[in-house]
Amino acid sequence: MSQRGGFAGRGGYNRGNRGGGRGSSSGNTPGAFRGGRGAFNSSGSSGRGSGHNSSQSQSNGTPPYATQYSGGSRANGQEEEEIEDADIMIMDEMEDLPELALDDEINGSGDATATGPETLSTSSKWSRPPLTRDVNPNEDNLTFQQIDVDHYIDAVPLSCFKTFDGPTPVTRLFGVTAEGCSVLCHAHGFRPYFYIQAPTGFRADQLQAFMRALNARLLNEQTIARGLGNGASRSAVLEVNIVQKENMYGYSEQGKRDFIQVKLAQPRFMASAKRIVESGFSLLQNGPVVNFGRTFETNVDFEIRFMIDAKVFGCNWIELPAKKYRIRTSSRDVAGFLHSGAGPVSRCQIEVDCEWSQLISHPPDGEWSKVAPLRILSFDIECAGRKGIFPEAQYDPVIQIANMVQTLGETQPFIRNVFTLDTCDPIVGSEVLCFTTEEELLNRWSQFVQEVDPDIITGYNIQNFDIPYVVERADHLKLFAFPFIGRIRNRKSYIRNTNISSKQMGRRENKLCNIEGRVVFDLLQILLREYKLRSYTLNAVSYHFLQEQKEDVHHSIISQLQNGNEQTRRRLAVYCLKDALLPLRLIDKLMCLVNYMEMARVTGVPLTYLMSRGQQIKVVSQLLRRAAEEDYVMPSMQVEVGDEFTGATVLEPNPGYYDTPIATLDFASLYPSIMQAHNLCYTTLLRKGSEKTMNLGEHDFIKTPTGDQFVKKRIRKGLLPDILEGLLTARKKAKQDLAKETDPLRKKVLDGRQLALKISANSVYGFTGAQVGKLPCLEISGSVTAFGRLMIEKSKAYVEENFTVDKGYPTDAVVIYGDTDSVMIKFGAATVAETMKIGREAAKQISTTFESPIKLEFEKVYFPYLLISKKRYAGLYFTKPDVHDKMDCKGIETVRRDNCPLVANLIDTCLQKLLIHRNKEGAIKYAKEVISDLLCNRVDISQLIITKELSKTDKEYKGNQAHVELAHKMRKRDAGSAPNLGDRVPYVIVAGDKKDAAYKRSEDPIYILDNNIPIDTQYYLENQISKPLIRIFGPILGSEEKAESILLRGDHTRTKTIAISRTGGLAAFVKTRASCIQCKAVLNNEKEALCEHCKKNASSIYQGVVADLHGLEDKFAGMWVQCQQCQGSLHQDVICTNNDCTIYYMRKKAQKDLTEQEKIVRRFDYGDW
Amino acid sequence: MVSETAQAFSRVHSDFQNTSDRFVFTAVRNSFPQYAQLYFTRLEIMRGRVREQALQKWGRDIPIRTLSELTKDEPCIIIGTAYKEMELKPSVLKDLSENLDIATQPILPRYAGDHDTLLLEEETQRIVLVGNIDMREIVTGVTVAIMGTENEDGEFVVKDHCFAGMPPQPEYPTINTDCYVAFLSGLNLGGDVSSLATLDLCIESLTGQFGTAVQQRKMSKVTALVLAGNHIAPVKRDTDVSDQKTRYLTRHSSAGSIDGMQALDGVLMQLVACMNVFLMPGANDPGNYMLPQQSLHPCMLPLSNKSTGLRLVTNPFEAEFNGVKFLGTSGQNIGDIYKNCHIDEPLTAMEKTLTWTHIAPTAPDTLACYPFTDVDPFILEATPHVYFAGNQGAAGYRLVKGPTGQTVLLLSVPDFSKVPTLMLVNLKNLEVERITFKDAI
Repeated sequence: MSQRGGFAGRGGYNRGNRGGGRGSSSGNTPGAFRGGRGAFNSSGSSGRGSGHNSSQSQSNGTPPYATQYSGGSRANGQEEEEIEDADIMIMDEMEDLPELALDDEINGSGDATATGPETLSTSSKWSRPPLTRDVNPNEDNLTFQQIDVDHYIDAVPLSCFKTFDGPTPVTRLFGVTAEGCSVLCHAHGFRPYFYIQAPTGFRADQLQAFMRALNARLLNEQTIARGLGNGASRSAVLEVNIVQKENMYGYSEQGKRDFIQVKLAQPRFMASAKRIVESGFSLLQNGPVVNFGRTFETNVDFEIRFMIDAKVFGCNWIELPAKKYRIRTSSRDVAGFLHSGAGPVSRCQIEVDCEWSQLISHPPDGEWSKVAPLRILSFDIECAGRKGIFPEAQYDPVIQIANMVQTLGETQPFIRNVFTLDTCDPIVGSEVLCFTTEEELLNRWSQFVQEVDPDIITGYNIQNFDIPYVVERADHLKLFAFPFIGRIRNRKSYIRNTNISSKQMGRRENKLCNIEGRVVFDLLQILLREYKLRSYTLNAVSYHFLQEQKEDVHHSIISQLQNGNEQTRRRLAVYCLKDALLPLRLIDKLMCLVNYMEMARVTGVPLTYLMSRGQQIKVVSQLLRRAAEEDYVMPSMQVEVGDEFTGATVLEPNPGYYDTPIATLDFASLYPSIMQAHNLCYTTLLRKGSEKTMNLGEHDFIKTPTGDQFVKKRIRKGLLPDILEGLLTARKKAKQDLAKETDPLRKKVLDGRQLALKISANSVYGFTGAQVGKLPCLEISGSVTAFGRLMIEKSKAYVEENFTVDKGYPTDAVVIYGDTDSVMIKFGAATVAETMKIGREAAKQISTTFESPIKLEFEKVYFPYLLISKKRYAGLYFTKPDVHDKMDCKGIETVRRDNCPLVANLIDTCLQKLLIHRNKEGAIKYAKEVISDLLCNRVDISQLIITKELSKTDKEYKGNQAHVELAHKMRKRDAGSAPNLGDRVPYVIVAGDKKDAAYKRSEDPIYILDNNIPIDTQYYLENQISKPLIRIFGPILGSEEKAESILLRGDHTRTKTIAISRTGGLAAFVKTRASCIQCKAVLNNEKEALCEHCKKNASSIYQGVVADLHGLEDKFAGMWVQCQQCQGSLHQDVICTNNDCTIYYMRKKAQKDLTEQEKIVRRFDYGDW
Repeated sequence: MVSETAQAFSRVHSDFQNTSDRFVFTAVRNSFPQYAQLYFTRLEIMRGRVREQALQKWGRDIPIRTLSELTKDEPCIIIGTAYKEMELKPSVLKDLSENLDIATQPILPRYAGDHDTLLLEEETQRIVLVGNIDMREIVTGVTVAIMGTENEDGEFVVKDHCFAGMPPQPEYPTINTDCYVAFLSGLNLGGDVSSLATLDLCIESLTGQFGTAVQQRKMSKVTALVLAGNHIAPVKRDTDVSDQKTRYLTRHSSAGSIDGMQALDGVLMQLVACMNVFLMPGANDPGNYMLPQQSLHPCMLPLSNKSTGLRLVTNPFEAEFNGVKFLGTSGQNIGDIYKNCHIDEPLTAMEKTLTWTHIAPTAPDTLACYPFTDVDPFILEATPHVYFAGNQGAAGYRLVKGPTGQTVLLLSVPDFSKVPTLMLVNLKNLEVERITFKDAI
């Protein structure tokens, strides 16, 4: 205890030698906690009621939650609604807690909260590089890259920044300097505000009355009164002003008008203020109720508001000029008591205070597009589950935690270690830390995190598994010193459940954990957002992106390994380390972190928002930034459900197999360019009929194809076109810079930048069409799509009119298909080169007929081209005249996820044969062979596995579905290994009672292999293969009927092999007699291989049999060696049970088949040759 | 063309003893376990031998450590199995990759590349080797002792290394008369390459139907012919490159070997009447695929198998002729070593396998072999007098001396269809003669 206490030295800053640090910290944890409370009780001067002690509410299990994440949206009382396309709804399932408990209650002085342990410095390798010299606030500018912005309510504001009485919000910026030192900057003085349009006749001298009245109303609300504490002059409304602003929604001639800007004391008063204002109130007692109408910008998150006003972008560089900031030092000068509460509260190396208006924010361009050496911690835990039950934190111990720490931009982690429970053999290249109790392990790990002080925490599914598990486990074990893994020293981390649902991702239950100042960057969540994959297990993902399989240890084996000896535990540790390393490698390979940072910079939102929020916030942030510059304000819209507008339609396709080059002309960024060309924006929207009252002439506005009206550029330039222009110009620049850049990290950054800019430009349209969004405007989105259609139709008309035989072209050009933003044209030229020439010419000519910047570009030629139907086509893709770039397939089963791999492989190979090799006969022959192989049971089972996600509980599934049925069956067999909600269930349809529907005949592939269950090959032929096959062969063979008769009715469908089940039915009663290997005649001598008749051909029969053995041996050896290689050990048995791996089923089958084949071959040993 | 003076030579006989028992599966192979146990057993057997060599080489002052006992910067000796991580090594996984944009892996003459990593592996862990060890001259699976220190980065800096070395050799028998064992390999019958004319010439020479009296006299001293694999041409695969059916179909392959085996039967008919013919299976032949390959089944050779002259043997094949110890393979082991490192010369590779005390170290990694559990039959228990490998690019031979007086004749028997050469080894003095046949037409 002597060394620590509530406010001992500052975390992470004291690099002094503390030899006994480790022992002392774990030893006196409970004491420290008690000590913390003591400190609280004695500090009555903090001015807060004892009932609001956050440490108490935490320990009572009612977690006060607040980060920037919840702060704004909940306080507004506005639900984040599901948005039209690809967005995320967050429905908080928490019970109604007193609002106070919901907000951040970190006191600046740090003396009234639970006391977090001090950051220890035990290893020079773990700790951050020490400050090269002390920062002198009088001379040095302090520059750092911020990675997270949030806020807290400061109960006792520092006197120097104090402008109002009572608790007020302070914005926190966490960051890292270019040298790699961690920084926390408390930016003071920024307050939330919103606008009201001043009612007609409202005068400036009424402002005070307005403020008093609103304040009184607000203070009536209990939660607000409580939130303000017992200060002398309590005020919820801090300031009201009249400002000149303009409503951005709709064009009006009046220009700027009087708006009342209302500044509130705390962000979460916003919701009440909005409600009160919108329902109207009287300014004077008994006065008339004044109707203020709709509020403006009440739905803007506090952090976003701050970032817009301070011109801060996500992950950009912040500079604090000398003399404009103060450093927090642990001043023990007054009898060891912190002086005026200005001590450091965080574990950052540098902690400073400043006025928010003093910080200089550098836009992320040029020099400031660099990135700081961020520390990324990737970790993975292993728990010893009970047999058959997925680990639960109340019961199952954490036995290992593997950690990898890497600096952004480096290729290898500089810390690799694993914390193990019980002994473990050393692992070369990694540090092994063994512990005898789980308590020690967890506490030490928590200290490790504090010491390493990572900026980013990553891993695979850490958000929903690893982090909640360790936190809940520590809570269960009553490890009071554990949950301080965030950067705020006295702030506990706890777990909260939320439901996230979106059209894109379906419904998922998510857990959230507050780790202040560190960004939780869960790779799984990123992948779920960014990629469509067959499977999201780490194995499948690493195979997909790194072409590398990972050993998968089933959780039932984990306990066995743990209970073995140091060697088996070492084995587990190696596996665990690999799981910690892979996320880093994937992040590197996919550049997700860099891309996300660039997205944050481009759109101006904090990095964490990109992971927790939808697409809309990004557009809102940009829109508000531009709006603020031109004094527009954004109305807080009521969510209304409107009519669907017609989406992008396509030109009716002219299906067929085209053996001539087909040119494809694309509109570059069609939707953004339409919005730019026609000046479509909220600010230019002209209400129908209002053109007359506003005296606008015919040439002052346009009428879109949907009949909506927008004023032209020269009357008023819209915000959205302006934003888009900015984004597209910036993208051009980023691409130019990218071409010039040589440094690999900066190259990645620039590439991420241009990608982020492109995505952002395209998401603007979606934002206007999001009906339950922040600011839907169907006039805009409807007009955009209508224009899009028009463009496509115009292009078609132009091409077909101007590229004709009459005008000297090979044939009359025909547009065979048109998609959202492209047209496919048959020009009739024989060669790719010629087609390219005409295509370029056409693109140029047509573009001149469109308004700038709408531009049609020649992109590629398909030759040959197989057009099946809308959005379904395949072709060889040429951008150069000589060699094709790739085979491009759209909407065809090669990429669909809900089919078995056989379909994808079959279709893909057929297409390759048809398109690349131009071998129609070969393709047909191949398809027939596969069908024949399928019917004869020669197709590997891994090719027949269909995988579906168990995304709902049983009750929620309406129809009967195969994977649900199977999950049921498996639960009955073994509850432990049965799939759980959210798991992907692999299944195969097996033969059985034909009266049973197919879904009832789904079976687990492993069970099939183990029990020799026959597969329903007919099902695969009819329900999986036939449709896609006929679809692609239809156009080639003339008609679908013809394709069907050739492919599905031929001789090759006649031979069938029916395997016999070893289970069920009469299997138990059947006695098999030895029969001739060749003709199946019953043999007299059971030991022999062949009957007398077949013996004449013994040589050739044997050669066939032995050739199979030869092939199987080859396969067996290849696959098991591969597995050995994957697991990274030659001398240890492969224990991988990764059923996402193609080899998994194949190797098992090879093993079985080989044993069978060996028996057959050996029958030739008998007899006389 | 019969010799002028029709002289009758009688063929010499030799004592013959087949000592290949350890390569024979007497019973049905009932189980196909994983490969880990084979490596485990190999390391267990080899560790002692390598340790002995290490102690001899570096003395007893440097401690021998296991990987778990390593302390940074302490000089020590570690013993384990070498493992080479090769980027170019073909992978079943990549072959099966769904991503068809990745072109099917080309079959490379060599997997070893410049960016390989060499590791040393023990029962439970492995360590990266850097420093003074030439990766180009070592392959996966070899048991090796390494002297050096572990560095900061968890790598082991090699100062020196050593292998188990050539095992002892039985004494060479005294033989006073000329007596030859002949070697042929790679007849490649039934294929497109028609070497039939030269083969006929060869057969006629061997059987004494052709050549001068001197030649006939010499040929009469040939007591045995070893046919070291690849008697028939490889079974033609579908040449369509894009044909991926083999990727996932467990189809019944139709035997393409029937013509070839018929032709072989005919060839053997002529030979077995005159001498003992030892028929080893090779990579192309209709037998099992994994090493050790079992003797070819007599039912495929209905004509020649009636003769006692035909001996169907295993690959590898070990035997004693008049007390001279022969050991050899149909060449897969040497071919695979070529792929796994930068040793170009087959004879050098063969010599290496003797110093490694293991004739097929790359099995089971890139060379398929049966997953043995408690033995490793490819470990050399004794150094043979003649060590041969079939199906090599050239007809070569070299005498090498071991450290304890061993003398071994290395013999690379060429692929007859490419290099039509018969090799004769004289048991009296281990002299080698190469007889090359040219197509008379």
